[in-house]
Amino acid sequence: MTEPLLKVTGLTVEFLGRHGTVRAVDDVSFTIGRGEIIGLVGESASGKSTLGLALMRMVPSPGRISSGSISLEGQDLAALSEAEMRTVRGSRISLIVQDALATMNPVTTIGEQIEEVIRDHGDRSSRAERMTRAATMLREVRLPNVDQNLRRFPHELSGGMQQRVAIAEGLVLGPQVIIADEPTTALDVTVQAQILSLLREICDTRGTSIVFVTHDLATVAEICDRVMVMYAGRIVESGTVREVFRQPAHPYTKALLSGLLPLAGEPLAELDTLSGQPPRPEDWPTGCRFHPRCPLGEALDHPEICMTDDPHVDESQPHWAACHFAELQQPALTEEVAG
Amino acid sequence: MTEEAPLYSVHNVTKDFARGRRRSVRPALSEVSLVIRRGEGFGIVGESGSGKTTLGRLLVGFDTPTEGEIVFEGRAVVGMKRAQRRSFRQGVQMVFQNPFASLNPFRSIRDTLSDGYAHRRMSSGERDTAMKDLLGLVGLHESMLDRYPHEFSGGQRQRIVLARALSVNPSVLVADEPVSALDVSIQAQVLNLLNTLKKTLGLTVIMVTHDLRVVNFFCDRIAVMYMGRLVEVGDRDTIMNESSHPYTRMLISAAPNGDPEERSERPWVSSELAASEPPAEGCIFAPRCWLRQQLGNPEECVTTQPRARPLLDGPAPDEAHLAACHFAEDVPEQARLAQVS
Repeated sequence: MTEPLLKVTGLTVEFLGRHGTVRAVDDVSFTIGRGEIIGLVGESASGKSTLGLALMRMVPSPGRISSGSISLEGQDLAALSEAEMRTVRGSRISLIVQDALATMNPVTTIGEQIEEVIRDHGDRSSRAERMTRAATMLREVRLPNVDQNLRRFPHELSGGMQQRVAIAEGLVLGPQVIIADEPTTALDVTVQAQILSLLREICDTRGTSIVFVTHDLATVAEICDRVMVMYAGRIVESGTVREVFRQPAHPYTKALLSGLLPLAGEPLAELDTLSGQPPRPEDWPTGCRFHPRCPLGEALDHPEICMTDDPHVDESQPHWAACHFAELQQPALTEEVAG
Repeated sequence: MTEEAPLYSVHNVTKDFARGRRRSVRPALSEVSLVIRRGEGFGIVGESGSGKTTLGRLLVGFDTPTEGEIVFEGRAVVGMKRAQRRSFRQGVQMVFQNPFASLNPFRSIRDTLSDGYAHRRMSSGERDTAMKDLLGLVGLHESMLDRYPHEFSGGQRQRIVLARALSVNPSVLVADEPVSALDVSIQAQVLNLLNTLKKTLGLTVIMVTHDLRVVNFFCDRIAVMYMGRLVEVGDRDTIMNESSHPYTRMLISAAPNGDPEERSERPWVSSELAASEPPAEGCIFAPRCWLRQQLGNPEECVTTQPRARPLLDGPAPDEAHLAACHFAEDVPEQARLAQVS
């Protein structure tokens, strides 16, 4: 295989708090290829958004990247100075967030917002040229009536239009990687459908890679090529979307998938539930961090190893799960499918 | 099935919040009529601006209709006598989306729950037992009575909110997006609980939500709203699997199906940008309607606003299934055609 576009190795993000240091993201490694959309799924406090911000080197203080590397085409972003990082941010790796409106300057028109991004990254062309570039970009994300909308203010646009502008802003410098943190969560489903297909199209035509951070497995199934499931600061399962959905190897992934209620057909009589709630970074459980809630552990009568040892994973495998008993999970599932 | 009097009947209800010079703004709710039966899970779904929350608030009596009438157990909600209003307010309870905002942080769970018993003749011992039973019912331990809201997680708080609503023995629960703010693994717990409560207590649960997966799991009947109008109402199975309104079809097909093997093809989903405001005349959905296009833009769609009406399928009109479309009977067939092409 060719060298991946982005290679993250042993990335750890720590927050210094009153009760000492907590690790929100703990020793995470993964790679992304060109034009690939990789889903990063997790519940609140799983560390998914912090990981997304860490890739941008935008972890808010008092958090910091304490170890690990983020290699973008061989250049380690984690080792860059802040000044160097500023030239990378936006032009080679950019961020799109859930609340598009909050990221925009309310007293600047749509056109100027984007023009400003181009200017601030050292484009010395005339203002008119930069405006044309902004308009072209807005057409590419299919904002309607671009000539009029260029002169409007962010609050005058609908939520779907705002999100399109945010995407245009994230794309205008032609980054290789986009971190999209819940980009469609606040949108209505009919709008979400259009934004998702727009993102997919951008990857296919421009070869841009997307790290798609979300809690919603349904959207992952819709647009991602691969998926990583995060729990308590770690990736617990990783694989192609097809494999992970068909044969989840980690009991947590399995639980998340069964929480994805069917849209059609007969409704379920009762939903499978996980007991308890996701842990907070200040008190990650020992051993496997999922063990206090794990239905598989319970079925196996709480094996000692789950409480004492971190599951070892071979991250070079295309599909892996951080579970001592991952092999047990898979045949069980195959049987269910067969039966 | 024997026809018993419905719990709620909503007659031609319009709610207009606009005043003075903003009068031209579209009403939040226009000419909605439907019935809700005793003991059912009734879902009100729609996107933002559809009027689903407004309808929910009218059913609880938080707002009053500008026009039309809501009848609860045979009595009009507006203009009830004092005693009647009191029993209505007790009988219909509301649960909100955000369990962090709907509990007073300075009051213990005991304080919060005891409000429900304030006007009942009970010894403090009896009240204590009742509150402990209540916590048991929603799956919390009785030792939690003296704790404060901040000590609980989102899912637990939503259970407390449910317990508070149940403390006055309501017959109806109106839940506005009750699980949207919760994590996926917690959502399932709360939905199971709601389902159990509905069955064991015989509660009527009216669920207002944008989440089609949740209504498909929970509701017996579903009403679909679009821009303040009721576009379709019917049994869960009919709405989710064999809908007769082009908007309902579009809404369901827009939701990601959750299956990476079969990524949804969406021949029907048209841009919301085409219709930020509804047309002055004709069907509100016409500017985005795939069916209208497919039928060669019939005149009726842009001249007359269709009313929600029983379908003329089969031997007799189906009163349980209403759709507001001039061509509702053609929808299933045309939908098959659209999918083929």
